Amino acid sequence: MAEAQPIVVNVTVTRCDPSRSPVPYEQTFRVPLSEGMTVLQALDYIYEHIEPTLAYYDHALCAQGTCRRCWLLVDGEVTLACRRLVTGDLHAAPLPKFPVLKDLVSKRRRAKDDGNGSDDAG
Amino acid sequence: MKTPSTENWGKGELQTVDTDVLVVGGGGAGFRAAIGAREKGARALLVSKGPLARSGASPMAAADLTCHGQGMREAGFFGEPNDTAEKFFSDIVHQGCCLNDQRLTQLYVEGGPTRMLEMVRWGMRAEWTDERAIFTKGTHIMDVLLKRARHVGVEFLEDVAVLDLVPSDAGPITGALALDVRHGRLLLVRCKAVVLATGGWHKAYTPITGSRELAGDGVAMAIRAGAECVDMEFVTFDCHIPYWPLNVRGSLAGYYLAFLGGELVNGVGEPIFAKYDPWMVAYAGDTEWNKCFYSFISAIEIRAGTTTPHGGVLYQVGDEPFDVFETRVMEWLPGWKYRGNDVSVMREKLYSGEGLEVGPGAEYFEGGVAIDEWCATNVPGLFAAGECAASVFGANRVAAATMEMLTTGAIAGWSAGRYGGQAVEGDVASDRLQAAIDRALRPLSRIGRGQASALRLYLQETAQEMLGPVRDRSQLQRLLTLLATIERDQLPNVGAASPNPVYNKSWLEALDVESLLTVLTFSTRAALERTESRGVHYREDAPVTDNEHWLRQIVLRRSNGEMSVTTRPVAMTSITPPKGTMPYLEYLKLMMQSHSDTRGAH
Repeated sequence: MAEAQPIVVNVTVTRCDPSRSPVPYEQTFRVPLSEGMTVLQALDYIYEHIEPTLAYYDHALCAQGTCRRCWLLVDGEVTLACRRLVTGDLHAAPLPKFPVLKDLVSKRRRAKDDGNGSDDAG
Repeated sequence: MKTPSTENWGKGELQTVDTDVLVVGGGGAGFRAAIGAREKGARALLVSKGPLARSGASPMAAADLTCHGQGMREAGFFGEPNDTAEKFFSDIVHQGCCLNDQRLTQLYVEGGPTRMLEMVRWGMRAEWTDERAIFTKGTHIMDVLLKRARHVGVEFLEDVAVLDLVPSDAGPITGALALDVRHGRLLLVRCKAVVLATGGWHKAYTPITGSRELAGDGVAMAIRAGAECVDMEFVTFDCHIPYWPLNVRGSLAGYYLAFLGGELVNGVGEPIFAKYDPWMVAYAGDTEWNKCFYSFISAIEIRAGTTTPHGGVLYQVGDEPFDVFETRVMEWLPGWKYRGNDVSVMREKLYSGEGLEVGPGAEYFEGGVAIDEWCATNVPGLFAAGECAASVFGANRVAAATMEMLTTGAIAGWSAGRYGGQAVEGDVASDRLQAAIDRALRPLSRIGRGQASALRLYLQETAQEMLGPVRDRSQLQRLLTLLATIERDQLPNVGAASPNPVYNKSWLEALDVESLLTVLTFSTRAALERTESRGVHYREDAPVTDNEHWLRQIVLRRSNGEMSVTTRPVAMTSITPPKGTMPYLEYLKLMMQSHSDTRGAH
């Protein structure tokens, strides 16, 4: 089962470091697509191989839909990064209406995910 | 009682928070310990590296709470009426291949009914029960504990990583240095006692079945503080963990398949089960012995090089009609969903006949910080509970770790609460605090480009290959040298990718890598020392279980930078192990056959 020439997708990330400038900017990374790759794993690839300063909430993360901390806006849709599959080029941004701490990490969490009450069956 | 605000810690300077009992770790053991400390009247601050009640391995658990049948009935559940504490105790010791500290196993068995009953009083519901376990969700257990902890006035800090324990000038631990990960600020917690409840070091392996924060940092900081560790050579791997495709890699959904029939085939198409004792294959398939046995037989194939493209073995449905198989799967993974995650790609792989690439995935760490019956370590003021502590389960865990977190958590909390009430208030030693701060800030002083994650990826692949279920002497020696070289030559130069401390993942990762190196070094050293095979530790160069020489625990500690290795006889209270030396699989079969007449998965 030799891997064919890998398909490369463009992952565009809305970045922002408020300590330098409050103005967000877009940066596009080329990520080789693997079978079943999630948006979280695409961000992992960028962090590990291209841009180690990229911030997305994952220092403590289950990556399996349970902890519900990896909410992002992917192609305009609010989604958990660990559940969304990469199927082609995509755009990732922090949650709208939440002030940005850094890049894709918001200052606040969604209230429904605050401690108890989050339902892993969703 | 006010929860300290992360917003008020100021920039750059070291903010201070005071409490009586500091609980490090936001999983089940930490929560139960914090509740226990409050029950003794002490103030308790729980510091969680990740999301509150969604950290570590606890919320990921399937989750079963094991307790002997009579104890379950005391708590109002349907359990096997003929199952007694004595039977359960005997079973756990035999599952542990007789290397359990039987005093600690006793605490687990005796504490079970009370812990189960209180969880019911606090609102826990069971989805179903079997002979000696109730089944619920890890997230539900955590929600119940969070509600209770809030009710009794536990204080919390979330997304705060404790980095080092700091003693007073007199010696006992009286503080800890922590990092508010989101805001990038250091924080000093002053306390009278510390309970470590930081779980395992899943992050040292790939694929990861636990959460990403589990880097063994608690065990590593205890080692730096002079704590003794035991049983570090024993790591339980879940079997049938998917290796590919990526969206199911590490998913526990695969583990369910181990109970549902099917077969394992190696990379060149040979059936694996046919190579082993049919009784053991069948028995393991019906119980949680599957972790130990199926991971062992998978690892043998993987090491022989007959692997699938992504380094595993193939799980296939076999001769059974697919719809019959699928009907059974639907009871466990309805709609091919596991806890809301779409795992239907597993169906595609199985239905097409291609098969699912699976293999061992690190799940539970039997070893850790040595504790006594009060969950106290050898370091004054330091207690430990749950997975980061050893050795309730000896050389192999089959009974539930969720019950370990509750039983040892409660005891550690009470002990620390009582100790905190008696301890003299002592400030932290300024030189030790400064050393901790220097260590924490070192990655920020040498900005790099991603060495931390590169090193972590390298360690994960190396540990998976060399420190998996099957080991051998020369490889372990090579690994030990390799780890020492990395620690000496590379670690000092591992920098963060940016000097901005705000949510700087590469900063924390550099510190995590240091912890991983410490625990992997201890684990490798212990695996090298144990010149026999037992439980989840199999040595190709020493394939026998040796009860003449190795009913002993390996004790490791570090002082003045040097690792010391000693052994001591394991504590036995009532079960006397068989004498002599036996081939590994024969001994394993004997341990399986020693099970009492109580049925069920445990």
